[in-house]
Amino acid sequence: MASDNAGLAPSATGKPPAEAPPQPIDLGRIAIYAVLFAGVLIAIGPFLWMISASFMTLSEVNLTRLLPENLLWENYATALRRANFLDIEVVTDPATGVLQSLGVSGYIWNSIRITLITVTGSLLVCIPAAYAFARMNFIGRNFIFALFLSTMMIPGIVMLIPHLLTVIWLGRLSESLFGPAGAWFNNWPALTIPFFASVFNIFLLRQFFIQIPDDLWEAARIDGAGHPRFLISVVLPLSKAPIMTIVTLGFIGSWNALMWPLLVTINDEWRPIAVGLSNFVTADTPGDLNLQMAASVITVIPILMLYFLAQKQFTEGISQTGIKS
Amino acid sequence: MKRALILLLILLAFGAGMALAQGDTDYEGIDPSGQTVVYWHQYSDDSSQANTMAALVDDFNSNNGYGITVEAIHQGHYGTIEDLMNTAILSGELPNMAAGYANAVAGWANEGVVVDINLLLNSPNWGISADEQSNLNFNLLNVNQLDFSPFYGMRVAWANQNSLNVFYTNLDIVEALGFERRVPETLAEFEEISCAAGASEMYEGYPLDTGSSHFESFVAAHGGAIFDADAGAYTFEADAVVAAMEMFTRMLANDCAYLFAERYQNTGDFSIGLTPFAAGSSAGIPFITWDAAEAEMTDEWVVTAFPGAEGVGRTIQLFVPSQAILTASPEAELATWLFVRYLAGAEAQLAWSGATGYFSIRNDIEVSEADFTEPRMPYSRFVEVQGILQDDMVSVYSSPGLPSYSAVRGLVPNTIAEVVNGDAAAADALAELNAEAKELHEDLD
Amino acid sequence: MLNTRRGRLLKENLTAYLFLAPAGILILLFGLFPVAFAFFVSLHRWRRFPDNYIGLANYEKALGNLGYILFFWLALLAFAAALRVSRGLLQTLRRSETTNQSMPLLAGVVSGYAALLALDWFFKLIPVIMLIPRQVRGQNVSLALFMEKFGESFTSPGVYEAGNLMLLGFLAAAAALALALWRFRSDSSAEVIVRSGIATTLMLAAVFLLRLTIDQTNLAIAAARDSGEALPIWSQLVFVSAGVGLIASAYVIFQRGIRAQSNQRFALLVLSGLSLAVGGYLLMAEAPAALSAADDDLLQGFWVTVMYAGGTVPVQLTIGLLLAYLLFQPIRFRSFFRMVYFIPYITPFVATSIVFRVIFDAGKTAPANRMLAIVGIEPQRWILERSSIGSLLGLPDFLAGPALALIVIMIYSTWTYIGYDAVIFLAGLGNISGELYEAARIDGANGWRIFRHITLPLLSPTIFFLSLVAIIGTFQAFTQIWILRTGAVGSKVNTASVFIFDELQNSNRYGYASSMAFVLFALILLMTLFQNRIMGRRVFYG
Repeated sequence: MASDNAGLAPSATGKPPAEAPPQPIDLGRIAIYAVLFAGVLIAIGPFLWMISASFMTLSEVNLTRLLPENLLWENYATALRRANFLDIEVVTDPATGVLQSLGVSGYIWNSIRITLITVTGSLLVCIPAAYAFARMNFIGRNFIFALFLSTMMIPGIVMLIPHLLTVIWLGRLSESLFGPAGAWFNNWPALTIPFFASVFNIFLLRQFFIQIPDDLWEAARIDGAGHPRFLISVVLPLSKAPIMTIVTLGFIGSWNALMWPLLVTINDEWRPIAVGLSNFVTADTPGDLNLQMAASVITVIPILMLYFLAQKQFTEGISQTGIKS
Repeated sequence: MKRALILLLILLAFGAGMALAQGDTDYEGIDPSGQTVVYWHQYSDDSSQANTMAALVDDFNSNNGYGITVEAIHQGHYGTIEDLMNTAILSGELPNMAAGYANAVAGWANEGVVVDINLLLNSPNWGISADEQSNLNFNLLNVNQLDFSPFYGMRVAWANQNSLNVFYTNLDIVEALGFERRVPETLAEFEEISCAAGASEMYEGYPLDTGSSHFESFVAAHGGAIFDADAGAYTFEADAVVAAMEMFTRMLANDCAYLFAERYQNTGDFSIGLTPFAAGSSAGIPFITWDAAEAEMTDEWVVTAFPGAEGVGRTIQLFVPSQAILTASPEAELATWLFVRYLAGAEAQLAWSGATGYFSIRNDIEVSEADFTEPRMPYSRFVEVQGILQDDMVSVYSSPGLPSYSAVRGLVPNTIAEVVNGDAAAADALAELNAEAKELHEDLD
Repeated sequence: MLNTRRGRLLKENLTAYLFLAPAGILILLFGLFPVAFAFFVSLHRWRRFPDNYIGLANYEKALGNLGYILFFWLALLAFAAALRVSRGLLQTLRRSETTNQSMPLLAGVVSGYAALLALDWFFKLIPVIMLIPRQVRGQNVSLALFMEKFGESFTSPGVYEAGNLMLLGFLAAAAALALALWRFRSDSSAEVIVRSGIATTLMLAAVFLLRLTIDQTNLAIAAARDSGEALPIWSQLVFVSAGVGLIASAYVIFQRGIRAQSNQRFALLVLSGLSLAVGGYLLMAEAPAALSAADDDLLQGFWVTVMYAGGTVPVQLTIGLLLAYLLFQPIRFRSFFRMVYFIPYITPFVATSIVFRVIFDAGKTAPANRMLAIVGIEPQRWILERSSIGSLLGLPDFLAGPALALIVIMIYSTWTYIGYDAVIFLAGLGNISGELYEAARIDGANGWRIFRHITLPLLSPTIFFLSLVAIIGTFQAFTQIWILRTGAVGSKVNTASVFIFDELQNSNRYGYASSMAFVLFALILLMTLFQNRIMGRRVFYG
C-alpha cells in the first residue's frame, strides 16, 4: 500500500514498513530508478548494438551507426551458411511422408550435447562429494577439503599440457577397452570429463547441505535410512534451487568455453559453438563485422533463453546456499 | 643426476633409432593404394579458396587411380593450426598434411615429424621429372628448402601458391593533396605525401601496422633484412632496421601515420578512401575491391612494390603459404605426395590461381581472363600484381624460415610500440630485441 | 570383534570415501597431477618433449637469485611442517605410553617412504610415455602400436628398477601396516600411522628441496666464479630472509601492540615500527640485487597483474553492492533488472569483446571518443594507448598507473562481472533478518548508519567470498586480456598469465613456462592465505 516509501533502508521482505509517512514527490525513488536504468543501459547497451549491427550493411557498421536503415535479415542467412552452426536434415518417406530419420549436426547441436553431458556429469560427481563434506565425519575431511579448494588457485595455463597428456593417454586406454566409441580425443569425454569435478560446485552445494537441520537426519536414521537414502530421498528434493544454480552456471561455462575445446577437437563432429564463432571471427582473411555480429547473436540466443527460463530458481539457489566462508 | 643420466641415455637411444629410421626412406617399391590423407588447411568455410580446394580434392579423389581419399578439414587460422599441431606432435597422431609458413614448419621439422619432400620430388617412380621441374618456379619453392643446420637442404614444405606484401596507392588522393599523380618513388616521397594527408581535413596519414611482416617490408625497403643467413644471426641492430624504426617513429610523431586496432583495418580504411596509402597482402585485393564498391569509393588506386630508400629501388615481400607432409607410414606419405603433386600440376594450378587470385608456382601457365573466376576481384588487378612479380627491377624479400622466427616475430610489435611511444630509443630497444632474438635463435634453432 | 561404535565409524568412513571417490579421482587427475607435473617439467629443459634435467635454472632465469631464495624458503617450510606434524606425533606417543607404538610408527615411516618411491617411479615413467610418439614416427600409427609401446614403457630401463623398488616399498608398507593393525592395535595407532607417514613424506620432500637448492646454488656460484664474478646468493638469502622476517614480526608485534596496555603499547608500537623500518630497508637494499637477473617481462607481468586486480576488484564489488542495495529497495521490475544485469556475464567473450573493440576504437567516430567530444575532451587512442593514465593526465611518474589500454580492459572485465556480483550480493542481502532493521529504525538510525553498522557487517561473508573469487580470478585473468590486446600496446597489458601463455605458444619452451606458472601459482596461494588471515578476521558471522 505505502509503496512510495523513500527510505534507503531496505526491508528484508521487500515490503516497506507500514508506518512510513506518505510523501508527495519522492526524489529518492526517482534517483533509484535513474541509477538502475542507467545500469540497464550500460549492461545491455553493447549487447543491443550487437543486435542492431547484425542487421546493418557493412558500411553502416564501419561508420558505427546506432541503427540500421533497413533490416538485413540475409546477414543471418549468410552467417549461418558460412559458419556451420546448425544443420537439420529431415528425411521423410517420399510416398507416405512419414519421418524416417532426423539428422542434426552443427556447432549449436554439439554445444548442446557437450553442455548436457558436462552438467549431468558434474551433478553426479559433485553432489555426493559435497554431501560427504557437509554431513559425514571421516578421517582427513578438512585436509581433503583444503586440498580441493587449493586447486581453484591453479592458473589455467599450468593445466594445459598435463591435461592434454592425461586426455591423450587415458583416451587410448579407454579406446583399447571400449573400442572407437571410447576415444577421448576429438570426442565428448575430452570435452566434458575434465570439468565434472568442479570444486566451486562442491563448495556451493556443501554450503547448502550444511544448513539442512540435523533433526531430519535423526528422523531418517530412526527410520533405518543410511546416508545414500537420506541423500536421495530427503536432501535432493530440498536442493532444487541450488542445483538449478549450478546447472545454470555450468551451462554458461560450458557454452562459452573456448581454449580447451579448440585444442581437443580436430573436426566438426564435436566442435562447440564458441570455437566455431572464434574461427569465424578470426579468419585469416578480412571479415565482415555485420556478419560477425549476426553470428554472435546466434551464439547468445540459446544461452539467453535458458537463463530467462531458469533465472528465478537460479537466484533463489544462490540465496539459499547463503555463501558464508 | 642419475635421473638426468637415464633421460640422456633414453634420448640417445631414441636419437640413434630415429637416425636409422629416417636414414633413407625408399619410396620406389611402395604402393599408395587405398590410403586416406588428412589435410588441415586455413581456408575459411564458404570462401572461394575453400570451395576451389574442395573441388580439387573431389577431382583428385575420383581420378587418382590409386583409390586415395583426401579429407580436407578447415581448422581455423594459421595460429589454430599451430596449436593443433602442437597437440598432434604430443599425441603422435598427426594429420598427413598441414598448412603453415616455413618458420612454423621448421619448428615441426625440429621435432622430426616432417618429411623431406626432396626425397619424393626426385624419386624416379613418383617424383616430378627434370623436364617438368623446369616449369616450376623454384625461386619460390626454395623458400621452404632450409639450407642451415640442422636441416641441411631439407625441403620441409611445398607451396602451391604465393602472394606478396604489396603497396597500395590512391592516385586521386595523391593528386588532391597537390602532388604529382603517381606512386611515390622513394620513401621520402611516401613520407611527405603521408604527412600532407595527415595534416589535411579530408584524409588520414598512413595506417601503420605494428606487425612483424609489415615492419620487415619497410626494413627491406631500406635495403636490409632482420636476419643474415650467411652469418646465421638476427640483425636487428643493422642500419636499415634502425632507419625503418626511426621512420615509423617520425611518421607517428608528426601525425603522418596512425596506429589501428582491428586486423585489416589498414586496407579497410584505404578501401573507403580515407588514406592515400596502405600495405598488405595481395590476397587482400578482392576484399579491398569489394569494400570499395560497397562504400562507393570511385578513386583510382594502384598496386605496386614498395618504394625504397635512396638508392635501394623497389622491393616486395614474398608470402609463400605452404603445406608440410607429415611423417606417417611410407604408403601414407607417398599418397600425400601424390596429392601435392596433383596440386602442382598445370591443370590444378590454373584452376586454383584463376579462382582465388593467388599466383601460381608454375612458369608455364597463363591465367587468361576466361580462367579467372574470383568474383570479388577484376582480372585487371590480377594482371597488375603479376606484373610486379615478373618485374626484374623489383627485389624480393622473404622472412627467415627458422623455428625461432615464430617467437621473434611475436616480440617485434612490442619493440615497435615501445619506440614509437617514446618509451625507449630505437637503438636501445632494437639492441635488446636483438639480444632476445639471439637467445631464442640459440635455444630453438 | 568390532564394537558397534567402531563399526559404525568404519562404515561412515567408507561411505564417505566412496562418495568422494569420483570427485577425488578427477581432481587428482585434473587438478593435482597438473601441478606436480608442472613442477617436474619446470626442473627440465623441455620444449615439446622432455630434454635434460637442469635443476632450478628455469627459476633462476625467471626470478634471478630470488628463485634460489624462494626454494630455500620452500625447503624450510617443508621442514617446519614436518616438525609440526612430528610434534603432534610425539604428543600422541606420550599420551599412549602404556602401549607399544613402535610397529605403527614403523608402518607410518615405511608407508611415507613407499609413497615417495611411487612418486619417483611415476615421474620416471611419465617422460618415457611422453616420448612414445617419437618412437612410432614413420610407422603406420595405430592404437595397437601405441598400446604396445605403452606396455613396453613400464619395463624400460630406469622405470623398471624404480617400479620394483616401489613394489618392494608397497609390500613392506603393507606388511608393516597389517602387523601394526592386527597385532599392535590400540586406539591411537591409526593416528600414529598417519602422522608418522606424513612426517616422513614431508621430511624427505624437505631434504629433496634443500639438496636441489644447495646443489644448484653452488653450481651457479661456481659458474660465476669461473667467469670472474661474484654471486652473493648466500648473503642475499640471509638479508632478504631477514627483511621478510622482520616485516612479518613487525605485523605480529603491531597486532599485539594495539591490544596491549597503554605503557606497553607505546613500546610495542615503537618496536614494530623499528622492525618494519629495518626489514623494509633490508628488502629495498637487497631485493633489487637478488632480482637483477630476473626476466623483466615476467616482473612487469606481475606488476600488470597487481594493477589489474587492484583496479577491477574494488570497483566491481562496490558497484555490484550499490546495484544490489538499490535493487533491494521496495521497487518494481526487480526481476527484470536482475535479469538484465546478468546478461554481460552470460554472453561469450568472443562476442562482447568485438563490441568493446568498436566502442573503444582509436578513431574519431568511435563511440567512446564521441562521448569525450561532447564533454570537449580530445579523442583518445584507448585500446591502442600504451601511455599510462597518469602521464596522459600530466601526473608525475610515480603516479603513472596502468596504460590506458589496460584501463579499457579493466572496464570490460568490470562490466562483465558486476551483474554476477550484484546477483550474489542481492542473495546475501535477502538473508539478513528484517527484524534487525526494524530495531535499528526504532533506535532512530538513518539510512547510512543502518547500512554501515548492520548491512555491511552482516554482508561481510558475502563480500569476503566475492572478493576471494574475484582476486583469484584476476590473478588468473587471461581471456579478457588476450582478446582485447593490440600490437600497438605491446607488453604493457600482459598479465603474468598472458606472458606465460605467449612463452608457451610462441616458443614452446614448456620448462621455462612451467617454472613461471608455478611461481604464479605460489603467489596466488600466498595471496589467498594472506587474504584469509587479514580479511577472514573481520568477517562477522551473524
